[in-house]
Amino acid sequence: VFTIGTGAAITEGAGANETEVPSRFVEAFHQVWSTVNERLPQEEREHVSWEDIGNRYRERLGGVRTRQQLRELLSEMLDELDRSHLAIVPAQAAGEVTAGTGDPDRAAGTAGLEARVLQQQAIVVAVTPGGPAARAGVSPGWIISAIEGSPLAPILGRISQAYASSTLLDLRLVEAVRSRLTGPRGRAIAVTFVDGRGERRVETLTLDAPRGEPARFGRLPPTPVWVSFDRRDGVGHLAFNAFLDPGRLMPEFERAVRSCRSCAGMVLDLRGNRGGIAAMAMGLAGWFVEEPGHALGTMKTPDSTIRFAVFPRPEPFRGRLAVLVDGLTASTAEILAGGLQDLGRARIFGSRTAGAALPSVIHRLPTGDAFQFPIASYRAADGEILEGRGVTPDEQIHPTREQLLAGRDPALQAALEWVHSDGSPRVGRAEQESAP
Amino acid sequence: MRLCALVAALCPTGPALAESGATHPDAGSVIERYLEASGGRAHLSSIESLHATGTVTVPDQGLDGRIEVWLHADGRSRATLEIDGLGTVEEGTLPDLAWENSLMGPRIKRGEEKALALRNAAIEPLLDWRDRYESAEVEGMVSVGDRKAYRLVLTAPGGAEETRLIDTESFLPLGTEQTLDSPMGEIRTQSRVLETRTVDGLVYPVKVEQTAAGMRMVLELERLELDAEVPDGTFTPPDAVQRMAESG
Repeated sequence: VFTIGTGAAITEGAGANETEVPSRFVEAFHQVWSTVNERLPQEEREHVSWEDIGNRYRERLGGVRTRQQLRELLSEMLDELDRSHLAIVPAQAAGEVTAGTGDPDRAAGTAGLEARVLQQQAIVVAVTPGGPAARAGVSPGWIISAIEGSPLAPILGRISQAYASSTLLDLRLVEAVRSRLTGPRGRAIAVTFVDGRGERRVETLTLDAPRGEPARFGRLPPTPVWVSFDRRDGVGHLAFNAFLDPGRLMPEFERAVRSCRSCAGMVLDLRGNRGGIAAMAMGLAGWFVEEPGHALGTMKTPDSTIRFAVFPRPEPFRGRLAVLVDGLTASTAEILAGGLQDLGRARIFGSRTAGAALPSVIHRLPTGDAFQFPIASYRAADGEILEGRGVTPDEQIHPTREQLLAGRDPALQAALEWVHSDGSPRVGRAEQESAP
Repeated sequence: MRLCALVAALCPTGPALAESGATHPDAGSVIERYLEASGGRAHLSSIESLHATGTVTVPDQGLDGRIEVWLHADGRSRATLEIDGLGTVEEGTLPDLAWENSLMGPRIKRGEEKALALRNAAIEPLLDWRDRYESAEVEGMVSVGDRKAYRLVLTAPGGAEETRLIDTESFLPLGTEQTLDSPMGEIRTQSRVLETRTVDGLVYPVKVEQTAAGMRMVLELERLELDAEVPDGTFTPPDAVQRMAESG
């Protein structure tokens, strides 16, 4: 109940009317440095001298004049730890401007597309029906070559170099694209695509409400959450983008599992899922595990060791279970995927997860910004630390542009084939049940 | 201290500092003084039910919620904790059943965890402490903030220890320390009483700060009723829990 893990760093630009409050800058710096010093588990910081890093950045504090400069300084300092879940969340994102409340025109908007970086190219992998990209005729497989006239290739190249040896590479690459395609609703963004015929197309996408309903959790920025469930060839396919809004999602999960009692198998689609409330992963796992006494892994704080125990539901799903993951599957999502894999309950399809699995909390800084930091280390059920390692799928599948252009989803296809490989009949008609 | 005990996994406080060399009374007399300060043995024994409602905050993370607790003298209990954005945690007891229902699903408590839940379901477990615990010892005095407290260590059958910090002057509770043994592991919890209030002759902690696994939570009761009429079904476990109990 008391652990949350969120996706990796959240940073946004400065607000227009931020003022200088130098004494608060010093307080905020001290709070961030001390918190890491006191709360970050030793094994997550023993590879650096946090004392020396603090001294170096403290010297630069005198030159800080704005909150944005402070954020950049703190973020740079935290980056030296090379650990996930360390982020400075601007006050605006942390609460003052929220999707679904206040002035809707100022709330977050998106272009209505999902992208992944494949072979150094940003490729559209999904388009939200009815969204800005869909209205412009954008399709999966299209290349995003430039945004607002700025080519993406050099940016992606620099990030690829900086994170070459990190499991966070995919996450950082997509964040770079995504951050350029989000902003206030109503903003028009010119995006240069290469379409399925290889032709260059410039489309103006007017940012619109993101898919899903905004969910709030403490000081986390409001996060749009969606869940969908459908059946294909007699196999249930459950997908959702975050482990948040449990009041809505947990009943949806239950409904999906109950309605799929006769399914040959189920596919749990965690691609792009950035995590959230850890207890939801344990609760979801309970629908797929029959025997008590199992755990997805173990979280270790300075004073406690907590098993992420799985409590089997009264009537769990007993059929084959496939889990889809990719480089954006992070935190609670990879804890669930890795745990089910280690327990021998699920077969994993896709690409390695983000390895960003440190349970974290978010505190308020004197500047009004929020500071997310890890409070524990996490070991998977096999005893290995998940941070920086990620979950390696049993079947590694990377989609190609050609497959996406052809409307194929190779990871899902492989999962469906595996479910049926035990001879289960392909029964049932496809039907879709999705919630925003 | 039932407020803490019922939600102990969520409840706690700063460490108490042990002092050595002081003389102290025996456990039995400390408990009797505690019962007297809390409203008196006769009054406490006469309470049939307790109903409390209040708020919960996790200040460091900006989380808020509501809590409702029902206790009955026959050992039935139910506590409901609702935290915005996190959902609902329910737990309860019947005379021979302890259960929980949360995001992690419904479950029946067993072993030490069950025994602890059943002990804590009493309106005041120390009324018949000789039946509930194998031993009680005052293991010195400690400082709790600016107060001095007797460190009363209660050992349950099976060996589990529960520590209560009892003010050396007022004999009111100042906090608790215990380790919860559950399927999630052994979780050390501490609580500190921030405020007590007298309601119908009962002196009760109404504001408690608790820490567990590095998380701090503050519970504050807004309303406390004694011998309130218990609505039908209050102690009935959720359907899923009942099914699990029936299937053993």
